[in-house]
Amino acid sequence: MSRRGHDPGHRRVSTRGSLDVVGTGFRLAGHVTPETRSRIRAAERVFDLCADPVTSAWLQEQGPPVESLHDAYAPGRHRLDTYEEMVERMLAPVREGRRVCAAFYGHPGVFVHPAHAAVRRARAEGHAACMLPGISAEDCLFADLEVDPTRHGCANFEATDFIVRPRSVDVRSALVLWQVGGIGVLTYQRASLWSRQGLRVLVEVLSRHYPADHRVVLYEASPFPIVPPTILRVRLDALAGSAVTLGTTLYVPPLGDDREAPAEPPAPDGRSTAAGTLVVAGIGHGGADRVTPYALSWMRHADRLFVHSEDADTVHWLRTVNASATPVPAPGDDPSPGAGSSPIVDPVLATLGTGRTVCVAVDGHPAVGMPVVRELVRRARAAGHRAQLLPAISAADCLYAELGVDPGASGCQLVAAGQFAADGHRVDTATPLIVLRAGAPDPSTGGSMTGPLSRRLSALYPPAHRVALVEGADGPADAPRVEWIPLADLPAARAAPGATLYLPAMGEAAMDEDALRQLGLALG
Amino acid sequence: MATDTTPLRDFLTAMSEDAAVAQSFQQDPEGTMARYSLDDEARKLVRNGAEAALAIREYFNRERQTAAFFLFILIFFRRSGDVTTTGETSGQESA
Repeated sequence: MSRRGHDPGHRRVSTRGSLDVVGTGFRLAGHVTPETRSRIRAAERVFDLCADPVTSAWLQEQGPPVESLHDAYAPGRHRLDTYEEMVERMLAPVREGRRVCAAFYGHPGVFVHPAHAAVRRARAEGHAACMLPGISAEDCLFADLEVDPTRHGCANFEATDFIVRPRSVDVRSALVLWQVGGIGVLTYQRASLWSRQGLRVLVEVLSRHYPADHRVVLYEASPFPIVPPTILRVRLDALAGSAVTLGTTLYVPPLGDDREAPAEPPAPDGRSTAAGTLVVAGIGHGGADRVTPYALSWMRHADRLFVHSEDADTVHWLRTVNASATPVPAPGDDPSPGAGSSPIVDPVLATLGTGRTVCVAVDGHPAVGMPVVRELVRRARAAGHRAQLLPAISAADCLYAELGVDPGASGCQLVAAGQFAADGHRVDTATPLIVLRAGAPDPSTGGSMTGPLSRRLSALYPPAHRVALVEGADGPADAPRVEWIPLADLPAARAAPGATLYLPAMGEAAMDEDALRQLGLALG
Repeated sequence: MATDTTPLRDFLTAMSEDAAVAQSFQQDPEGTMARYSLDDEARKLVRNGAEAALAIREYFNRERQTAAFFLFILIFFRRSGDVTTTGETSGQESA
């Protein structure tokens, strides 16, 4: 794929200062990828906006001088002033010719306005600026709840935005709403829940689409390794009275599909002779440099490592990590879930049956677009083994960083090319759309999915609508490949199987004044 | 005298990075904490399990989690600079 169009992220346009914006994930240093760690250590100045003091202390130990940006917050201070101060403080040493790294918790491009603003402004001034993907709260949610966002599609929105700019809701897809504890509140508060009234309004809005007894999940990622994630399942009509904090995310499963219900605690049936431990760890996108230290330690530490990857270099590398590494068929080669014999599931279960610790390393994020992982975990638990998924850098994470897209700004819809072209998820064209594996083979024709995708999308978007095909970097020396093209050119575009297609929104959803009034807000 | 937070910090960092430490803690929590020289207060925090998050933050004497999430809420209003509070509802009601 050519690099024409939009690829400013990795250009080193001058010998002047530079800015790297990175994310530290949600597991202290355990989510800090090697590339992020190296950018932090190579910087002359580091800015810290991490959420927890342990990560901040770790940051201090990496070498360069660290300056916290937390003091830019103040109760009652105008939000734009806070942003502006953060951006200017990050850019001041860049303008002096220094190499600067700004570290945010989670993914630096997800719900982090100052990170995007700083990158844009640095580039506009002629400085090199780059955003690296990190583990997002959404990555943790998919892993901890064991839900596959591509199975039926998944839309996510900032909760206040979802209420005041009504969207077309496809109840057959999953819905993720962020910041449900802070709906409609403009001012910074120290309380853990900012608005109970906002929750009541949210329930009213969701009740237009879902029955009162629809089970939803209140989720908060674990902030420390000794603390489990918060996972609370409640009926929709009980949501407003539930324990919610500003860090709570709401997961609304697809309607009428209990197969998508989030994972329940394991219920061993006692058939195994010894309980083994299964860890399914994502390799991420971008090679060894984007594997989290915690996932890598499981790959190294496991009694047996199975590798489920399309990339021969990755398989080779993991053999150096763990001598037991054994390749198993690549995604798409395994029978559909529920099939009897499986070249992946069977050998893993056999090893678990000896009471060993088994790690299965898979490309990308283990919960995203991996039906075989779902089947493996289900059958391992049914046989009495422990099982868990570890989050990884997903293709969407790479796209957010490479295109400078913040899913918190206008929401986001995530689908997999095959399912989208086949079963027709409803798409809201006022919300950006991400299509995973856009260049994968079309099982019906053997050609690329870009053809069927184009036919489906042409019914929704005009032919001139600009879309981006994104392929992640294969390694630290590679630049990501981004190509902006009119939708009409999609069938002829060359796209690798793992390419991601991004469609910006057409316009913006209109503001609902009744909803604003319910939240005590008004257009000024 | 200020609390030495280093042992707990080192323990949490090791737990976050190293599967072997995490497994060791699962099998023998007291022995693992002893290896990191956690004092009684730190051990008590760790034993709190699900309740530990807030207590650990207080232990490190930092109150920033809420501030960090402030970043999130600002996203909506970045695009809605013309939205103001009317004060007509209990939008500020907090629990």
